[in-house]
Amino acid sequence: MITISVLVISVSMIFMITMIDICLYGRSVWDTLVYIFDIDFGTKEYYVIFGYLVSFVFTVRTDLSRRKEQRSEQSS
Amino acid sequence: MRTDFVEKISLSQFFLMIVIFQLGTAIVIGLGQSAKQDAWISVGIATIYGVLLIFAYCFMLSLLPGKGFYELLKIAYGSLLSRILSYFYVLYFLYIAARVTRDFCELLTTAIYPKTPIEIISLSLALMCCYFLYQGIEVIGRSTEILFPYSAAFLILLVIFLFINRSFHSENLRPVLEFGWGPVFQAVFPSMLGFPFGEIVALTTVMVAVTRQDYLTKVGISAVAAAGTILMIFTMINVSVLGVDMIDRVEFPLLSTIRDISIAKFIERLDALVVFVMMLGIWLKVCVFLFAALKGMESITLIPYRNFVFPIGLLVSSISVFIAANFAEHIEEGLVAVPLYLHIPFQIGIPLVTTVILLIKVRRRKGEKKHEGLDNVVQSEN
Repeated sequence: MITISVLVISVSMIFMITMIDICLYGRSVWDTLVYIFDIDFGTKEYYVIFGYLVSFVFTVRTDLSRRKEQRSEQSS
Repeated sequence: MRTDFVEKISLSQFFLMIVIFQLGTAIVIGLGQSAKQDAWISVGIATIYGVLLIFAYCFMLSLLPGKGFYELLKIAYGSLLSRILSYFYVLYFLYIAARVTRDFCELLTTAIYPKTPIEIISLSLALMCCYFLYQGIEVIGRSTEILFPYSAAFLILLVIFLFINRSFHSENLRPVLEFGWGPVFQAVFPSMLGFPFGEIVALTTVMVAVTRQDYLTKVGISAVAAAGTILMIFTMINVSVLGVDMIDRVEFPLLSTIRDISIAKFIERLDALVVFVMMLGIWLKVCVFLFAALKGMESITLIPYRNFVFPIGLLVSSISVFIAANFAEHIEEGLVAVPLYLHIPFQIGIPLVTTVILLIKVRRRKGEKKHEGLDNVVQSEN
């Protein structure tokens, strides 16, 4: 549930900033996505994406361990 | 995971949180520049609006004491619609947190760290805020209480140094209302409605944590009035030191004002004092907006908000890098898209409708309880 919630919010935020860009500058959806995520290899934007991915991995881990605990409580 | 977190803040911490939250970025970025030398009048009018707004929010919370903002949405709109509204509020608070983070990154890269990538600054701020949020709102309140005296001392020092440096030129503030009230009100509506006073909506999620709820309205109103007065004073200072033409051209007016200080060629380059004040304000703003968003996620998923702190905090850090390619684009979004399409619905529209619905429901409940009470009395007499 935590993983799904974080994923939904992440996708929603990307959609939101895309829509704001489209409303302001009148570009197409694809052009806006390319403009926002124009990440070249070697640029520092990878730092923030890497940070988010690491925290996401830990979130998945937390979610799985919570579900394990809930299942063991239910079975006992 | 620890379960013994305390989520209560005192009235004084709440007061200081509001003051620093309002001062945050506004004191450095400047307000009402389109009103030129009358910018301070625009800030005064916006302060009155801010006072009315916080009164309205406190009134909404007082209808059902002990209930937070998202609980009020649930009572007013029901389970499904309140979850949808809470979801949109989560997105709104996260977007504003990302914008504030971007302001911070732009300030630091402009003033202090020109060669540091904004991604590193963004990550550092996000990690720090995540840690504070994980510890809870009480830690944030206490930290605000500890750091506020330094912020106040630096602001007072800056004014004293400007005075000693003879930087004030009162003729820059004249003629008052040269172009009438038109530009003054145009500066207020709609941009100053949303920033900085309308952002108090995020503090409605914190208000339920205040210990003495009966003094909430008084403390809130006095805090907004104090913050507004400070902003008015610094707006006047910026205009009198820089002049109307310079203010339009600089990105951070207060920073440019402070660079004017040169006392005996010894006391110079006091940018660090301004950056400290802004850092404190931005740290608190990001923490409060993130807290508001996380509480929204807690109300939707019914999972304690601490589970979401780090991924959502780092999401905000990433989004702050992607929302705009440069500072000019970031400012344009803030002036064109954000006030009309985001601030007004989320700060005024939805809370107003919620208050009306809750008023009707509370009055209906009181009416039903009266009838029940009368029925019981009649039955007991019979």
